[in-house]
Amino acid sequence: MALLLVVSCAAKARDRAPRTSVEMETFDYAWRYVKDSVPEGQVDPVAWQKVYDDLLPRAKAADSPDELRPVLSDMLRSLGQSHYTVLSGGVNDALSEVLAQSPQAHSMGGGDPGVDVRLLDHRAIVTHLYQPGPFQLGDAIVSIEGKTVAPWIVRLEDGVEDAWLASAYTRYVVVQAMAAAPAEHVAVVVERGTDTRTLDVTTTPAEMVQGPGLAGPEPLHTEARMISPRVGYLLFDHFLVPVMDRFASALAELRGSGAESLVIDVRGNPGGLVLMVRGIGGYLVGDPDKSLGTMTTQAGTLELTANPPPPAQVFHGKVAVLVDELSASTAEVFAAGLQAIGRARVFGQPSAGRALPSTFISLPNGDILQVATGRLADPSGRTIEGVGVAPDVVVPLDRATLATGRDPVIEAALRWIEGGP
Amino acid sequence: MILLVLLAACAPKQQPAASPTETAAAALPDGKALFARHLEAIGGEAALRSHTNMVQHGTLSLPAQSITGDMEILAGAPDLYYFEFDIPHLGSVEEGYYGHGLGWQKDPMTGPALKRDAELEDVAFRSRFYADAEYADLYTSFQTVGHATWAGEPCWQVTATRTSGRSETHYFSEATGLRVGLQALVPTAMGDIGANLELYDYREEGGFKTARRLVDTKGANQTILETTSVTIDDPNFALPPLPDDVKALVDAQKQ
Repeated sequence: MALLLVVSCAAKARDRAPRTSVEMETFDYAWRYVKDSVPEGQVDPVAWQKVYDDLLPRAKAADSPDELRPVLSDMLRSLGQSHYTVLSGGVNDALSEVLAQSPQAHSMGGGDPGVDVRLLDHRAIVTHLYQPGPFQLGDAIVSIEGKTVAPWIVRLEDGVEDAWLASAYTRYVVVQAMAAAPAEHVAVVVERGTDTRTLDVTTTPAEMVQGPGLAGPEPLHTEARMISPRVGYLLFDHFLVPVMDRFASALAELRGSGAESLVIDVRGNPGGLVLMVRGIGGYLVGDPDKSLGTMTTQAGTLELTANPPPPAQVFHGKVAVLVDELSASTAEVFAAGLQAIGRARVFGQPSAGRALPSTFISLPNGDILQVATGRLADPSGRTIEGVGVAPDVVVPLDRATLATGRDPVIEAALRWIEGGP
Repeated sequence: MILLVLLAACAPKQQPAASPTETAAAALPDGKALFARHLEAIGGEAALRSHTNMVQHGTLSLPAQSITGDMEILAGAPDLYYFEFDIPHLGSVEEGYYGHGLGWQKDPMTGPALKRDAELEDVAFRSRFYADAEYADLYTSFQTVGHATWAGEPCWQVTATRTSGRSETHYFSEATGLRVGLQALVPTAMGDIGANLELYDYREEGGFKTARRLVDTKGANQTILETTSVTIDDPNFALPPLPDDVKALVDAQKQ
């Protein structure tokens, strides 16, 4: 989600008025806010009025935020676009229910189990290892601290209307369930090949960040290493402020280690601060007149021009960007921008197509409204919302390949960098 | 202004320009005279030019987003300027003009940058410490286009054109002569961004008045700058040293 600002929204519950009038005030406020902030052409005023009229009886009957929230959700769903949500604690019912069953209760313990997972064939599969540990790529997570994962997946797949969100939530809850406090041991049963084994996972300290609002705090990962004598690998899983400095220092470190080409991995990166495309993009594009995309709002169209560091710090070698279906928003703008200007070749799977600049607004009843405030496009003018980034080389993830310890997407990128197809 | 870029996506519905009411051209006061009246209203040229620097502290807030952070503005004669806004959970946004064509900005999302072209011209323009007394040199034309209500006050609406060719609209209170509003397109590295400023709460310090409350409105969103303390003619006044990464850009530009 392309946030312009990370917002800590204070609840503004108003206790003085009778409850129902607060809910009606909230309904009116949310409806008007969307009407006034959505870029022209994105909402038909007549249709939007009809949405109001249709939902008004339900809003009038709502006596609490819990009762009003489904009404607001229906209102926002009628827009048919991402980045319009109403949040209470940032979760929906199915996710709340699953999180309540997690061994880590309602929040992450601040530790990092060191893996990333994806929903592949309705199973939670380990797709990335952030650090050495007992996991192997391709492991299917069966249970965590005695809690079986399969029912969680079923509940999320059945209970979350949006398949993309169901997949993102699955990833979140499985990692969350393993994220005990640092240095604690977590028993995780995995299926590896034909074996089932119990792993003793020791969590490491994590920097927890509030991502773009999917579910809750999650560990922030950045990773830099050489994956061949002349190719550096750089991963970051959020576009949030701490990444800027880490990207710069990691790039310098990789160049110092001889990196002449770069693989940038934004798979699973849900986005964050869209202006970071200018900052990180500047390290790869030395020309401040080069735009990596546009953000159109009612104030006009802003060019996401590269903001380069001093010339000596600009990286001029080949760049491959890795994306997947959970790369969203700012991650998509970043990949699409570099792809469109010919600065990078994109590998992996089509991205989420959920890219709208948005802001979070405190509602009178204490809930939070996320509202898209414009549209994002690549430098050629192609809208990213609903379309996503089409990789130049599509590489599906499959468990069998992962189980051999190989990441086929990284391998494809390496083949291109080293002169192959 | 760098903040305008940050805030542009927060439901940035451009506020429509205040509509001037029909008034016979002959009845309209001279635009340049309205700038002169504003200068007198804030205390006069002599009072303004008797000072050399000003430091303001306060807060900048975005009420709709529940964001409030500390703000500092340093200004010195003839054209020194530094602005810092500490955004909670994000970090500091800084902008400066250090004279001699050196304009810069830095924020935690995009990193450091040197201003250039229209953006540099704009920050240099905004950095003029005696701007209120230099209007005759800073603008090439002043056209009073009518009456308008701005910041809740009946105003004269004046379109002024800078020497660079950029136009902006000033709103001068008919009652007090003070400038209570400004509309302009502010150049940024990303393109022009509209500013719709309302100026309130003029207070005197050191013999001249400054507005202590600025409100920029974009649709349902407002950005509010509140000055809580003003120090004038600090004998130890100095702009902060350039951040290392900005200095690196300056050094690279010299090579």
